[in-house]
Amino acid sequence: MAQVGHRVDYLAGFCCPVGGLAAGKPRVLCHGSQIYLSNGTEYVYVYDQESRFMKAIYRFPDQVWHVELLPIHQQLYILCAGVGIYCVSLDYPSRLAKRADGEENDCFSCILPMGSSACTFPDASLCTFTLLSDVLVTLSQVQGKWCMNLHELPGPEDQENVPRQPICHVDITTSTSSDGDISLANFLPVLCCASSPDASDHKEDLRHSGGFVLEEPLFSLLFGVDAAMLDSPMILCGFPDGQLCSVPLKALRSPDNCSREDSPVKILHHLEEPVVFIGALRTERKSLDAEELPAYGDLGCDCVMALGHYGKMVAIKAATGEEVKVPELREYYLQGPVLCAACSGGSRMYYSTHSDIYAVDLDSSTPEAEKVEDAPGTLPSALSPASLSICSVVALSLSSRESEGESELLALSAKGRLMTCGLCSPDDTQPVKMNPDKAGQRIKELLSGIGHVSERVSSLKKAVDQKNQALTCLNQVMSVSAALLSSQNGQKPITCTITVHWSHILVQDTLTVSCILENLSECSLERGWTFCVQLFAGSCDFDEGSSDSATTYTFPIDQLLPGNKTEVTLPLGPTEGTKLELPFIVSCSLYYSLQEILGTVSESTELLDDLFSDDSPGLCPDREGICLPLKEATIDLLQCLRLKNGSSTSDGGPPAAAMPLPGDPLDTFLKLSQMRSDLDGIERSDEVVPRALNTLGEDYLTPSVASIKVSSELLRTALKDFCADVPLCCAVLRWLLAENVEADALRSQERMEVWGLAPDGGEVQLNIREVAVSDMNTAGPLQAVEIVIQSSPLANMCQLHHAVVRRIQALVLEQAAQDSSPPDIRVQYLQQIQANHEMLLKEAQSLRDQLCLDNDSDATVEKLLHVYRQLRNPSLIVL
Amino acid sequence: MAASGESCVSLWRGENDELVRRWRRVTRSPGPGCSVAETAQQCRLAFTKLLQKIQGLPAVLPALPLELTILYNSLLFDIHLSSSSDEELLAGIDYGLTRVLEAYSVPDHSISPEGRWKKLLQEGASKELQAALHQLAALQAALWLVTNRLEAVEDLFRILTGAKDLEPSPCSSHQNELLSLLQTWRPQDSEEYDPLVAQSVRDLKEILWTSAAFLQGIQQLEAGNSTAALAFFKAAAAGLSSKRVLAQTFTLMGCCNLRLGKPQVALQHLRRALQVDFTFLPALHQAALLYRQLELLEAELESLALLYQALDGPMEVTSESVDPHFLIRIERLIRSAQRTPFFAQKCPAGVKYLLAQRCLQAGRAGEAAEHYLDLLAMLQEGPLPQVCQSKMPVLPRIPEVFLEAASALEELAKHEDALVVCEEVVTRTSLLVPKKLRLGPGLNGDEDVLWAKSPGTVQEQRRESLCCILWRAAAHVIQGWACGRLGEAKEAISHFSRSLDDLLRIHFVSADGACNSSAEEEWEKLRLSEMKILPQIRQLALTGRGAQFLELGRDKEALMDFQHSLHVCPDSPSANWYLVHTLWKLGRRKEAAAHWQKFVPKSAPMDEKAEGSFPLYLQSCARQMKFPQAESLIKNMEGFLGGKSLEP
Repeated sequence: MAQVGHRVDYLAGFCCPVGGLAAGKPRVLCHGSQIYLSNGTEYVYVYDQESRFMKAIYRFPDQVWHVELLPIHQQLYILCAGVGIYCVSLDYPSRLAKRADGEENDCFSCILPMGSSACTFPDASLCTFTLLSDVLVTLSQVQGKWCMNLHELPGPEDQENVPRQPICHVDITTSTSSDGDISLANFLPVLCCASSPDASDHKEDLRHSGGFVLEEPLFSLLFGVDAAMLDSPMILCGFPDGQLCSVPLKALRSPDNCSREDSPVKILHHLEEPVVFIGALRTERKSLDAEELPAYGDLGCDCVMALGHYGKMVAIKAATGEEVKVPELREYYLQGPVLCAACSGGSRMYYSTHSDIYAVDLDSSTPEAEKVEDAPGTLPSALSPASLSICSVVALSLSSRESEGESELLALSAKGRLMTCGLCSPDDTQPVKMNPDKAGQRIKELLSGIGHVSERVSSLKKAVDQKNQALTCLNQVMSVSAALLSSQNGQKPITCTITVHWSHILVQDTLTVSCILENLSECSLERGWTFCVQLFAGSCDFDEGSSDSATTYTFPIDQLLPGNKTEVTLPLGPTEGTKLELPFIVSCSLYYSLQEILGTVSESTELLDDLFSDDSPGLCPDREGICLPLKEATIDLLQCLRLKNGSSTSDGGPPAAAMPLPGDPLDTFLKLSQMRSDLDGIERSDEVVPRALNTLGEDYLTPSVASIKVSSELLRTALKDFCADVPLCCAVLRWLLAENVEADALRSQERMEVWGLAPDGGEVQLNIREVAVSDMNTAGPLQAVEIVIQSSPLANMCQLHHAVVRRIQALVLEQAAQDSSPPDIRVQYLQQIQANHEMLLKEAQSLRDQLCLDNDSDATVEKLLHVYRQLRNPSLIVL
Repeated sequence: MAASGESCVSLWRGENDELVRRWRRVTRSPGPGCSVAETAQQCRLAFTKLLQKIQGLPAVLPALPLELTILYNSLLFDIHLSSSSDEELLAGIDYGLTRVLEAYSVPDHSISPEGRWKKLLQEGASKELQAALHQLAALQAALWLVTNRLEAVEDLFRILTGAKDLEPSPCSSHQNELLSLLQTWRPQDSEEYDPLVAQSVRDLKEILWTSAAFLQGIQQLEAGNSTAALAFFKAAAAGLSSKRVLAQTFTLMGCCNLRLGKPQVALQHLRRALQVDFTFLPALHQAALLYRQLELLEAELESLALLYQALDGPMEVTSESVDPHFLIRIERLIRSAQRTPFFAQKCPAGVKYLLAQRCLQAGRAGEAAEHYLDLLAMLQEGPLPQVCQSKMPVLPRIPEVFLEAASALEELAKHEDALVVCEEVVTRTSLLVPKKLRLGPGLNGDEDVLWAKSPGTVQEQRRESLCCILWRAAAHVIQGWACGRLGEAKEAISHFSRSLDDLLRIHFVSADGACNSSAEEEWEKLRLSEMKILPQIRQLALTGRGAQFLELGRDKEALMDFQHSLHVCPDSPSANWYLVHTLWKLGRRKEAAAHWQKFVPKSAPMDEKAEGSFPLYLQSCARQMKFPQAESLIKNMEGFLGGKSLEP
């Protein structure tokens, strides 16, 4: 296809919001030398093309969604979102004269405000409308249902007594209502009127409101014989969900629906993407001399076309089928997304994307499109759009100044510039002799051409910049990932330290986890990274799978330069009703959402459109991203202990007032007082242990004790760092409390015992002493360190025991790896201990069974606890 | 706090009373500067604002009666102006109730408004609150009536009147219980010291009663229970209502009576309906239907003509004599009933067609032609939007209207006009007539159908094509007969031939086994409707052409056509007559006599019936097909047969 020759001329600039005008709502209309323009804001401008002068500006209460012109009545109809349709008389010169008396011709001073009360057809649910010579057709959406209303138009005089009630209404159902899909909510439906060739009295009017005359036999084929016989105008509707349907204004029943529900609506096609334009073309020339006819002459159109937002186009033409007469229907795929389009009434359709305006020619008689096997009258099998090199045009219209022999395209760019583009066929563009007059014109053209090119360049540059930015982001993300993944075993370039400490927040002392993220790598962590901290509660056993109750906290990182660190803290206060369960696992990771890469680019949606022009309307990666695990740590009681300074002994009762975690104070009080009275009772009489003592007192009175013996040699080798200058016991204690922040105070003292409080208030005591185990070794007594754990609540004792054992386990594993030889052990002794334990276990088992049977439970519980106590002191030693 | 609360309450109270007084003043004597509608709008806004003020504060018991009254007033204006949807109004009431429960600090666990009412009224709200609650309950009932929730209304009134569930109602019927409950319900009169209301609950009660009866009547009528419906409508007619609703009630009573087989009583009721409100046109339409049933053609046509006249002119509505201060009218409450088919608003075109069709059927060709021409002119040049909202198909397909018009003109012997009208049908349908149309039960082929998306569409396209062929063929047949009567035998023959050609475009394909059931079904439907016409047109065309051949003296060709015609439709009397006549003319007397003896005995009664089976637009042709020289032929045949019987 030939390049379409063109000449661009800038007329005026209009205000536009940041990010440019959105497509869909701006309109440009042209009548005579007047241009009526709405740019999707609340303003409608009237501009005179000849005098290059703004004649009037109307201001409406809300965004203007649609504008139509009715030249016979000299009226402009304006749909204001959420208000309704205004009817503005176009004899503004008189109005303007009245206003501009005092002041100079400052056009911006004469903005005509249009209040809500001036609205002619108030209806907040209106989406779009179109005009016939005496009928207003509106389309509104009520509760997800489309509703077409017909109103009688007021004449130019009787604006006051307009019949407000619609004369008729038709419900149209579409397969998907647009409130379900948010992506469709931005699109408005499209309306236009198709008239039969015999009945078009007001062809000019029809054209102004986007309508057209359809020739036979297409009209009959599309709309049925009834509509054709009545010469009924047909309203074509294109919906955001892609449905294309027709409604007759005259036929009382549509032919196809006699068997179905009695709706006059006939569905013509389903485009499956938002319809942005419906138009008609004349693809066949009547005769050879038809060239001389003006473009909008008496010829009707012989092809209806509809264009979807993503570039799908459908053309419908009467086919020359043998059997059942049906219209030929062909779908084409153009490059989307389409912002707006216009038809010339000839064989060309112009459509605009972000990057260009293209002209598509459906002329069946041009040699390019003609295929040998194609019968005359059929549609071309493929289209070849010709570029006009004008980018980002959001509103298009064909100027009616065709008296000058050429048609003009009127366009409004996304930046708010109004321009005309002369369209002439290639053979018209012969070089002309220069004379001063023409040279001036030529220079003007060149200048405007430069301006136009620079605008195009800036738009393209912006797109490129944003793509670059996205690539930079992606590059950084990749390098961070690579750095972290390549150093799987060694020192990671990005580290995370997890500590637990007590802090005083809001009158309470709270246990707080703090995670310090340190960036030791060479690349910085940019916006888009998220630091995730996950807490897996209560995984007492070392199973990996038990992470069912995890809480995730995310902290977006703004920027973390190399060498910097950032800290996040999480208070671990017991949430309502639940106790803090120890131990728990804290797991830290870095997360990068891939959405962010798009997000940085897609601040203006149009460029996102460009980035994905091949169109994935459903592009929405929900949680997709990159996740890099950093560190996992188990937090146990040893790290959470609150240590009491001074060598406190068991001289006083448990200091209830100092309980860090407030349980119910009343409850605590009651418990304590009851306990006291029980104590008194015991002192006074030698009764059997009372019940209360059994259930409660056990926790408070007789502290549970557990001990673990570890060979001194093992410890000494393992804790070389700790026992540089202190006795072994002291070193063991320091080692155990190494991760406890509060234990710093201990460092200065040589202590072998420590008192502490568990997070839930239980009191805990750790005693470390050196003992000699004689029965074990054949070579003589074995030096060992005994760690005695004492706690009044049994639960705390267990937690602490677990924590200590976990550490020793880790230590032993570490030592075993270094392959130190254990001393000789008396196997017989070990066997005996094992036998003892088996017996105890059996006993415990039987006691538990008994407990289930619930016979004499108090005594059983007592016995069971005793057995457990024995079990906890295995008199074994870790070597 | 308490003191300020007191002053607030009295302030609000003052505002409420002032608004109501203003409304009363304006409705009593609407002055120039303050129209009733405007004042209503202003009052609505003022009440809404006042209510917002009150509901912005937590609910307290002393302010509740006033709050509920203001809510009542505000809702009255809302309903009057239809400014909110029914859902919004119901939500408004519900919110009021929640606030009452809140003030009593009753835990509000019940989700449904019904539950709230039950809790409030049964578990005893204080005495001061009762009056206000009853007012609100009346509105609740009104809104439920609008949404046709009669059971909910009944339950509500059971609670309101404190009736026991098991108490046997005097009027045994379950549905009538609502009416009796409404009757026993005694809402408290507003006392002097109560805040003023814009419409008294007593008025509301009357309206509720009438609309409850009316709606239940409609329910019964729709359920086919005419006797019960009649009783309800009788009750509704006795209650307080507007002229329009009274006319509707009488119309429905007429319909009930008609169904019960009492056409005369029905007529009385319809007459009363029109007496009450002569602008209620559905009554006129029902009357036309009734006359048709009673076979009173004159009266039927008259009422149809009246109906058309009324529809054509500007819509008149009887002005209501009800006080303008009636904020809630009965029309608002029975809105859901307006969609019953009995009230279907006819469009002028539909009525015009009905008139024309009835005239044509009754053989009043002159009137029929006039009406048809009016109708066509109206459709083609009339004001634009003519989409009819009536659910029932009022007009047949447009080509059929044209053909019927042509047929009426033909009856009138306006052959030229008939030719023109038919020509229109021919040119319009020609665009859609395919060269070949294959039809058959096993055909779902979408081979050369570009448009085809679903088999249903293909079937529809086929059907549409078939219709076009039949219409064009019928148009040619009418043209043929018209030409024949104009004496243009050659023209006529060419028209008949074209018609036959058209019919030959239809090819029947037998099932090829792979047909699905829906295609089969579609085919079956087709065979019962359109396919029935096909042999009729063929018979008319063949007989017509034969007759013209006879005129031209081409007897052999005529004979062939008559034979074909008989082949298509062996029982056709006219073709038989013609056949015998032709045979006789050709001198094949024995054959003629043999054939004569075969068909004569059964021919006489068949005549009328056969004509009736033709579609309306072909009936004039069918009448013209009648053999004209029957008597001479009978004489000839009888003479010949008599002679023959004497001979041996």
